[in-house]
Amino acid sequence: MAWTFKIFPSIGVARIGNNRSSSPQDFYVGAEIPGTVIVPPNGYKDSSGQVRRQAARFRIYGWENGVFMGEITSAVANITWTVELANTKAAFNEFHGIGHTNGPLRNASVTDRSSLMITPGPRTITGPNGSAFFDTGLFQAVPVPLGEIQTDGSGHLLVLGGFGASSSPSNAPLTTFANNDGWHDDVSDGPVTATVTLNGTKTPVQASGAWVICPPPRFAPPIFSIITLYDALLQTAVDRLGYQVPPTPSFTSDVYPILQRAIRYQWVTTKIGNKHAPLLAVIPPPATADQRNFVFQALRDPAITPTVDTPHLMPAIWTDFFADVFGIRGHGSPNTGHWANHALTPTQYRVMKDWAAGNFINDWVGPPSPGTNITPDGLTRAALENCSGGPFFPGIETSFFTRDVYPYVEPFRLDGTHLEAGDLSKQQAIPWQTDFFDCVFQSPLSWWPASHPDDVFTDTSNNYVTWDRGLNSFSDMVNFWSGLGFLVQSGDSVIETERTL
Amino acid sequence: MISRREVLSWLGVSAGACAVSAGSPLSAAPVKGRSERDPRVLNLESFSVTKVEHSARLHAYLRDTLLPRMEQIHRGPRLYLDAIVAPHTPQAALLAVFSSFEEMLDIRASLGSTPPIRHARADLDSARVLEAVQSQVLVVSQKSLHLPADLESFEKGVLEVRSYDAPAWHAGPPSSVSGVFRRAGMDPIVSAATAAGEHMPRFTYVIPFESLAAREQAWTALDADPEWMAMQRESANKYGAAVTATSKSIYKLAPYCRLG
Repeated sequence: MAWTFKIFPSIGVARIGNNRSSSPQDFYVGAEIPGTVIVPPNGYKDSSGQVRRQAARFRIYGWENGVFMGEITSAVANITWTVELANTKAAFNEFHGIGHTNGPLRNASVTDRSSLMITPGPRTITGPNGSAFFDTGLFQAVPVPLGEIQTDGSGHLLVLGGFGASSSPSNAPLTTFANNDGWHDDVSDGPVTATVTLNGTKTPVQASGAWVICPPPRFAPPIFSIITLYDALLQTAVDRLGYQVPPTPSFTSDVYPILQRAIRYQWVTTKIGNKHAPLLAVIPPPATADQRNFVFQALRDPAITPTVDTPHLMPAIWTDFFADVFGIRGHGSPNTGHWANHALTPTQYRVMKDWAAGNFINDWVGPPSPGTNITPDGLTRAALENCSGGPFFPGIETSFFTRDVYPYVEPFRLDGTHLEAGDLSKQQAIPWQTDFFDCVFQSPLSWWPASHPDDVFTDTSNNYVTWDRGLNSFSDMVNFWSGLGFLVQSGDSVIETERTL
Repeated sequence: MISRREVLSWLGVSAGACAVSAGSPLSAAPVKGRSERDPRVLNLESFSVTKVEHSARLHAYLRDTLLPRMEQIHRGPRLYLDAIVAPHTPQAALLAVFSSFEEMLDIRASLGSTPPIRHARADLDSARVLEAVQSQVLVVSQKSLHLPADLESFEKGVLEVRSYDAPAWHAGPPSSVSGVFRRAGMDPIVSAATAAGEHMPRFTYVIPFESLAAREQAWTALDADPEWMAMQRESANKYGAAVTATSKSIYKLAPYCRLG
């Protein structure tokens, strides 16, 4: 009998936090069911205001002769997990935007390039209730711990990332949003592999591998990006692997999430006002053809050259090609009203086009509730829909390399044989806090307000306040990021909580 | 009192589908001897749990509420199972053998009207303990039912519940199948036809193994058996599809399991 095993999620997300405890009560596990929002019962921060880390939990599923058998735990198998985390940002090229990947090296004057790479190497755990730490990596001879792995009582793998500790051993200044020589942070990424030996058998079987990324915290968990990383990598699967989406979109599963995400952006930016009222008017379906077309005609066609202005079309977020927009029009030109925005993915756009034309399944019975069933594909979707799928300039969780360049063995599963630990985060800003500081509303468009809210409500005010108020410099963000508030659903509203600045 | 129609609906089968008629799995059994005149009905009911933390609550319900009541009203054999590999885990299952459809329906109606059971189920529902409850009604001739006198031999091993979609077996599995299984080291305690549902004919086997390794060895032997391979070829040639295992779940006995 031939068994095959696969690790899910195929890309998992463990978020950093400055609470350094390894105890389960001090961290929480990220979403495992699509559409769910994880609110830790004891808060996103501990009693001293430190941000809890979000663990990524990995599971193994088995197929026997092609028949799905279900989850494989330590009750029926001996499982050996191996994870490698690395941060190689400082040794990679400077980031200057998509299409400009051959720029000069970061820290070009450093000849020992390995001294810039935080590479503690792989860690392995066999069986349940184990742990191992990524605590031997160095940046310019200074130790930089990147986190740890644990197994729980069932043999699931938990990956915990770094601590939000960014610094410069040489006291270099922070001067740009993406490329600061002499600096490191402690985000990371790397491969997750496993061997499975079913009880009573002797031959270990290699599971199809996964990847973990350990990016910064997600401060607005109830708000989903208009283009999530799931949407972006679904498009990758369609374009590069021939993955086929259903020919006729479902209103509930395909159209409604796009409308809903846009509507809910009102909780993270003041710029929307009542401009999204037409979106409310098309729920419930079918609405009129004129109403649907009004919404669809407001969308940018992804076939339009990215640097071409499409004034006032949606979504109102910047393009991956921001550097080229600057190059064409001169620095600062966005403030003159240019509107080179990021389009929905072609698949999302086609969904909206079909819907506008009345070619959709009207399966509406009210807003969908998240399921309760953990499934292999659901694990991956839940992880990726909590990440930004663009714009990648350079992005917050990962870069356009993950969407456009890196190879996949199947939808959403990277080909680890062609990648090294650190590859998914090496293009990101160094340190992440500088890009996080800069990616606020930049007239006339936003960057990624579901990851970095622009404007929020508090529980004491009915007026918007700037979310990162009080932080006025790159250094402030490096030193005080953990004081920023988390957004939570409160009745019909989304409000800021746990701000400790 | 729950009506017969409600019970049938609860079971997930229609009255029409349950009726015994020519060509149905019930009448498809061979027609010689007592076993054919007196087939047994099995109900395999699986309970999927929403969260690992809820497993204990489900087992408490099965052990402390359902089992005592079943022991009062049901004289047939019963197996309480806990899934170790299944498409949805955590999952528990109850395999109960009845002398007839009538007995099964009567007992299920009785269970459904028993206040402690109704209250316990309501509690499980309100706490969202159960993701799904699925019921399969199977029909088995007595000669295809080999439950042991005691459970000692199963306690350390595993039980596999495996279903085959078998277009070639419209008149029941060939008699040679049991010999092929035995050669491979398998002795099913249940070989049953599904009474109603999609993808008929469908056959379900409950097979004990000493260990996962023994299971692996047995299925590998079966796949290499020339007679089994010939059956598969014949099915593919005649019906365009081989006899295909479409669902498999592996269980161990729940600690409170008693045969009844």
